[in-house]
Amino acid sequence: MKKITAMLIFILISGYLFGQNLFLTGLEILQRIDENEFYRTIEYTGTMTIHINDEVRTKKMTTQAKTDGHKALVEFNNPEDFGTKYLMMDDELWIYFPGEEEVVKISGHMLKEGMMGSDFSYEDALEASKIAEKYNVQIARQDTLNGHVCWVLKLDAKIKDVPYYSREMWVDQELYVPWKEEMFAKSGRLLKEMNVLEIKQFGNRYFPVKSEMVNKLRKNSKTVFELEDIAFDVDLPDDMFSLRYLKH
Amino acid sequence: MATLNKIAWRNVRRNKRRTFLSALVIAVGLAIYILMNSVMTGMNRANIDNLIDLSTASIKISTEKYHEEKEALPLKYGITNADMLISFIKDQSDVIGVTPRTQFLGQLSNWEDIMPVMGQVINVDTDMTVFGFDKYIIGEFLSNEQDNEIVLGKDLAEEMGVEAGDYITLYALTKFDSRNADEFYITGLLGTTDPNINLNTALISYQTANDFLDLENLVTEVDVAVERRVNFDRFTNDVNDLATTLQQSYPELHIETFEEMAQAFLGITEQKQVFGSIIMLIILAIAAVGIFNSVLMSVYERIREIGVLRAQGFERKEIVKLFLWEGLIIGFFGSIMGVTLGCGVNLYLVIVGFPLDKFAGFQSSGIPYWGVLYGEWNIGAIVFAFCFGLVVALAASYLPSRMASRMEVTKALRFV
Repeated sequence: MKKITAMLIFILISGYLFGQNLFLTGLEILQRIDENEFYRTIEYTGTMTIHINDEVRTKKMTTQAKTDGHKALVEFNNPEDFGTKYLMMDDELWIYFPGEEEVVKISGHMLKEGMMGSDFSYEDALEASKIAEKYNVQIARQDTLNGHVCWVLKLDAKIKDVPYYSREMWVDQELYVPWKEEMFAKSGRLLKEMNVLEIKQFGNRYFPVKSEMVNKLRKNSKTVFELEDIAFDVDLPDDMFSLRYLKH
Repeated sequence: MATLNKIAWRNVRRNKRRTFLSALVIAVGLAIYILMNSVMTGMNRANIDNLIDLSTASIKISTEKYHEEKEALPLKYGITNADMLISFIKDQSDVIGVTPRTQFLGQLSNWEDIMPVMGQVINVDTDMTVFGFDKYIIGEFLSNEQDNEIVLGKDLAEEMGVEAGDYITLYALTKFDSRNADEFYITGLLGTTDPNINLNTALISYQTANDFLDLENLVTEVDVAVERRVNFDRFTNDVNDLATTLQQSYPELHIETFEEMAQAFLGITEQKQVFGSIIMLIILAIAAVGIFNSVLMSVYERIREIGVLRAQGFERKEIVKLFLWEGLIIGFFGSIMGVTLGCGVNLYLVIVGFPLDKFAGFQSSGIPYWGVLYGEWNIGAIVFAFCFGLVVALAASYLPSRMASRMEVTKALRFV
C-alpha cells in the first residue's frame, strides 16, 4: 500500500514538474491550437513563392479576413497580377481582373484548388475555422521535430464535409502550434504536407508566419507562404467584403 | 409540231457523237452536283450523329438547379427517384436506350505531374445503349466485377505516359467536397472521333464512384437515345415529341434535346451548309457554262442548216422550236445519264463509304472528320439536278437559235 501511494505521489509530482500539459487530452490540445490560430479578424501582407520543378513564381498580396461569415479580401501587388483581387465569402469566390475590369465568380469546389497555381488551396490560405469542430482527435505518440518536442495528433473527420479526411499534426508541446501537418485523402493516401518554418509571438498568441506546402501528387512542387505586418482583431468594416468594394 | 419533233429527233440521232458529247457534259456536271450534295449532307449528319453518340445523347435530363450550375459539375443536385424516371422513359415509344450518368471534375497524377480531367461516372450495363464509347475502346471496357477501374482518353493517357494495363492516380472531390485520391487500373483507352474526349475524359463505374466519391448512387443526369431515322427531320420530330412528353410528366426537371444542347455546333453546321451551297452553286454554274457552250457550238455549226430550213419556208419561231426540241432531247438524255452516274457512285458512297483516315490532319479541328464518311440520299437534290439539266439545255439552245433564226437567209447560207 505504501508503495502504491508513493508511486501515485511520484507520478503527480512528475506531472507537475514536466509541465501542466502532461494530462491534456487531444481535444484540449486542439482547442489550445485553435486559441493560437483562430482570429476574429486579421490583416497582413503575404508573399507566396511557388516552386514547380525549376520554375519559381512569386506572388505578393495584402489580405484582410474575418471569420464571421468566412470573408476574405486579397489584393495582389506583384507586377504580373497587379490589381487582381479576390473576394471570398463563405463558399463563394469572386475574382476581379483589372485589365478587363471584370468580376468572375468561381464556383464552390474551385476553393479546393491551388490558389494562383500554388500548392495552397484558397481554403488552405484563407479559411480560419476551428479544427476542433470538425475532427475527432487522439494523441498518437510523442516525437521530436527539429529540436521541438511534439505531440503527434491523429485527426479523423467527424463530418463528411471536411477539406481532408484525416490529418496528422506535430504540435509543439510548449507553443501549441503545429510544426508539421500531413493531410490525407479519404483513401488514406498522403495528399499534402505542410511544414511551418517560423513561428512568432503576438501577445499571448503564437502564430506561424512562414510555412511550406508540398503537393504530394506532383513531383518537385512546393509553395512557401510568408506573412508580414500581421495585425489581429482589427476593425474591418463589413462593406469591405462586398462586390461593390471589389470593383472599387 | 409533229414534223418538228421528227426533224429534231432525227438530227439528234444523226449526229450521235455531238449529241453524246453534249449530253456527257450535262451528265458529268449533274453527277458531280449529286455527289457533292450527298457528301456534304452525309458529313453534316455524321457530325450530328457523332455528337449525339459521344456527348449529348438525344435527350439529357437533369434538375433545374444542376442545369443552372452545370459548368461547375456540382455533385449536390441529383435526380431523386432516377430509377422510376428511367423505367418511365423505357416505356416510351422510339426509345432505344436510357442510362444514368454523373460528371465530376478531377485530376490525374502519375506522382510526377498532374492533369485536369473530366470524369464521367457511368452505369456499365446501360451506358452502351445510349453512348457509343465501346466502339472506340482500345483494350477493355469497364467491368462490374472489379473496383477502381478506369478508362482514359487516348491522348490524355499519352500525355500522362500510361497505357491500358497500367495504374494511375485519380484525385477528385467527394460529394461532400472532401479530397480523395486513389490508384486506378486502366482497363482501356478511348480513341473516339472527338479530340476533346480523347484529351479530357476519364470513365469510372458507379460501383467504384460510390466509395471513391462518396456518391451514394447520386445521378446528376439521365441520358436518352431515340431511334435513328434516315430522315433527319423525322428524327428531330421524334426527339422533340418525347421531350415534350417527359416535360409534361416531370415538370420539375430540366429536359434538353440535342438540338438545344448543340446550338452552337448546329449553327456552325448551318454556316457550313450555306458555304456548301455556294460551292454547289459554283459547280452548277460551271456545269451550266459547259452545257451552254456545248449546245451553243452545235447550234453555230448548224447556222447554214438554219438558212436552208428558212429557205424552205420554215418560220423563225419554228426554227427556235426545232432547236428547243433538240436541246430538250439532249438535256433529257444528259440528265438521265447524270442522275444515273451520280446515283450509281452515290450508292457506293452510301453503302461502302469513303475512308477519311487518310486525311487524319482534319481531326485537330475539333469536328470529327475521320473514320468512314458515308453519303446520304437527297431525293430533292436529284430531282433538282434532273430539272436543272433540262432547263440549262433549253436555255442554251434558245438564245443562239433565236439569234440564228433572225439572220438573213442569204447570210445564214453563207455562214462559215
